[in-house]
Amino acid sequence: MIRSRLFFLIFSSILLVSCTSNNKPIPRTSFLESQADPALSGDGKKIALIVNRNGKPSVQLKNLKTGKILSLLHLSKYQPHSSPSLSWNGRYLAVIGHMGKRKMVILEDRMKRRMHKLSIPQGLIPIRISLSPHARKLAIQSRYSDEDKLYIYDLSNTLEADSSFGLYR
Amino acid sequence: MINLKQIIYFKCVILSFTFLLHGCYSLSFRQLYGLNSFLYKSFGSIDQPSLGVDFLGMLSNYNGREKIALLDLKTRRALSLPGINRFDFRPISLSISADGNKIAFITEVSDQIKLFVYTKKTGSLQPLYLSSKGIPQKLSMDGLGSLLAVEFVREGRTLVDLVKIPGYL
Repeated sequence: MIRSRLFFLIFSSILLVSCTSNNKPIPRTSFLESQADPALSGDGKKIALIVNRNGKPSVQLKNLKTGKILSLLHLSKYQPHSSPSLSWNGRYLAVIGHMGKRKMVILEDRMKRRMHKLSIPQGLIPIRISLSPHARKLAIQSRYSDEDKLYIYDLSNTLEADSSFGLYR
Repeated sequence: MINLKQIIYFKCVILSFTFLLHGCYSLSFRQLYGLNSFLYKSFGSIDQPSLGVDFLGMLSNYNGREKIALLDLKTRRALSLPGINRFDFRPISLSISADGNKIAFITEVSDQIKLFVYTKKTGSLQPLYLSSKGIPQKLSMDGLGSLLAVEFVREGRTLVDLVKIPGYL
């Protein structure tokens, strides 16, 4: 009696293991709730997200390995935020923010603890932005008279390049 | 009593401080007028810009229909992407890897919202499946083309899922 129960137990556990190990086309790395507008750093180690902070959409930067929230010094006063974009190591974070009612593009240099505001021509409303991995270029999709146009800016005279070899963590 | 020399001295100090603060916080980025004009003439209305190191991925509007396009920024040449702009695809969001070889995109196809990764070198189109149920809306790919962050909606809530791209070594 005991032997047959033991045999049944072993047999069912083998069956269970074989069933669960199949059908895994894409492993889910993690699950982050109530967050939107994700932007991964070039090296895939950090993520910028828009979260709801005190009723205002705000950018949050996370280390994906540790889950730790990384500090941003200058951006909180320019809420609400949208469309974050990160450089390769996450040294630079660009985001669309607000100064009063006016939308603007802000870039934080996390290594030098400095912020840059990008002055864009009056009448243009930034919709989405994209920072190149090495932080040499910034693309701004702007709306003017119901038409979306793209403006690319050269950052190479103003910012140091973000290295792809881990100068900054 | 404050004399004229002291007034001039104070004025100089205030002016230099203003100049320093201005230099720190509103550095001017150079708009690439030639490239921007070329983009407008060649692609018209542009949505969802995604910058790689030397490439720009985007959705461009041809006769009211969104198409996926990849531009080599050095040569200003639109690259051929055979098989990516299927007649039944209505792309919504895209993101490219740093070298421009991989293009991840969300598209409406046969009344469903689906996720694909296109590899330029091989011309292959690979469907991806979220491990969570929901409708994908936006996405961001890391520079290596190995990881995706996907914003999706489930039961009225906006969430973010991380998905590893199969086949990356």
